[in-house]
Amino acid sequence: MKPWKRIEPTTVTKVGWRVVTTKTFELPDGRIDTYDTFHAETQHFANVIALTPDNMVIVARQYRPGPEKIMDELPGGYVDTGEDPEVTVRRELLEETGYEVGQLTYLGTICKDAFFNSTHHTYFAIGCQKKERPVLDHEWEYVEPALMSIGDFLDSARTGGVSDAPAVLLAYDRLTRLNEQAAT
Amino acid sequence: MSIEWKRIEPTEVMKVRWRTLVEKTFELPDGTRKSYTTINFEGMQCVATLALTPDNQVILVKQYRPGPEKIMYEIPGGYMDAGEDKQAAAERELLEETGYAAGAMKYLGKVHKDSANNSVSHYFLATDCVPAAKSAKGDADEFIEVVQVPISQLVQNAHNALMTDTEAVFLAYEQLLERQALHGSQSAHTKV
Repeated sequence: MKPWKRIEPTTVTKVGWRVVTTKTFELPDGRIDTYDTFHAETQHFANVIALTPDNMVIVARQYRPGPEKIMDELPGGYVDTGEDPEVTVRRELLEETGYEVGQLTYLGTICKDAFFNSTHHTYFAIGCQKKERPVLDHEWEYVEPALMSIGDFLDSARTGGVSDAPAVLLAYDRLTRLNEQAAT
Repeated sequence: MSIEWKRIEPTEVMKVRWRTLVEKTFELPDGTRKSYTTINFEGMQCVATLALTPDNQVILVKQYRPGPEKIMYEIPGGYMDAGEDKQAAAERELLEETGYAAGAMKYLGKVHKDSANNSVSHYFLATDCVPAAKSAKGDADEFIEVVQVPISQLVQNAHNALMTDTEAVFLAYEQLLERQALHGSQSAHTKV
């Protein structure tokens, strides 16, 4: 199967905080077609499944405007242009929850949608310690840090309570191993 | 202080060619008003199915994806029609895209894919899927190809960003591992 060939033009339309990027492709049969995708092409996110030394999952509970409910979210956010996503998650974990990363492992990336340009870099952190009160850099971020047992966190992710459920898959084996160790 | 937001007016629906965006207005916990641009129309629902053959091969649709700009191995799915039952939609998309009909369908759950997305995705696990349609989109569309992979490959694809409905693998993970173990030919756990 041949990949499609990206050609010009590309049109970027800003709508409030969102961006629609209309891309043009040459398909394998030579036909030209355009596709509307979401997010700027430079837009990437990073998040972290972070555990305390006693294996509680640190979540950043917050209201989400799409689902219109409070969710148990993975700490994280936009990767600033040129920033290493590892730096992003360390910063966001501290700002949103007041916890500092203990030991960090890169799990991989997630592509959430066939028409999204963004990717989500996912990390796993253990041994995270509370350092300070959360200091949020945006006045609209009302985040309530909370600790959840691994079992409760997985249940929340299974029932629409976590918007980064795909990221949880990348950490699934690690989380269930830790959960089993705690039970024995 | 509560972290609950309150949805208020106005609401503005905007279109950019085929895409819908909805600017919602909220009252924040401190009483201030803020507008927030969300993507997709309110009430949008999608379905997708993790479909297994009787010998536990996963039926996937290999296709180029314009967002990630790469060839990916997707589970069959699509939009629900207005008023359509979600299981009927999933069965319809499975048949249309792959030519397979499910022996049994099990609802895995509902996911909000993204914090600023109005779309909801319903996932199903279909077992004992057999060829049923004389032709499917996979035959007519020269740019998509219906393939079968072992469960271990599906899990590897999910870990390597080669699919977009990774949530489905998460929701079905324990069941997939059991089936893989019963099948016997691969190790029960994928090394991570």
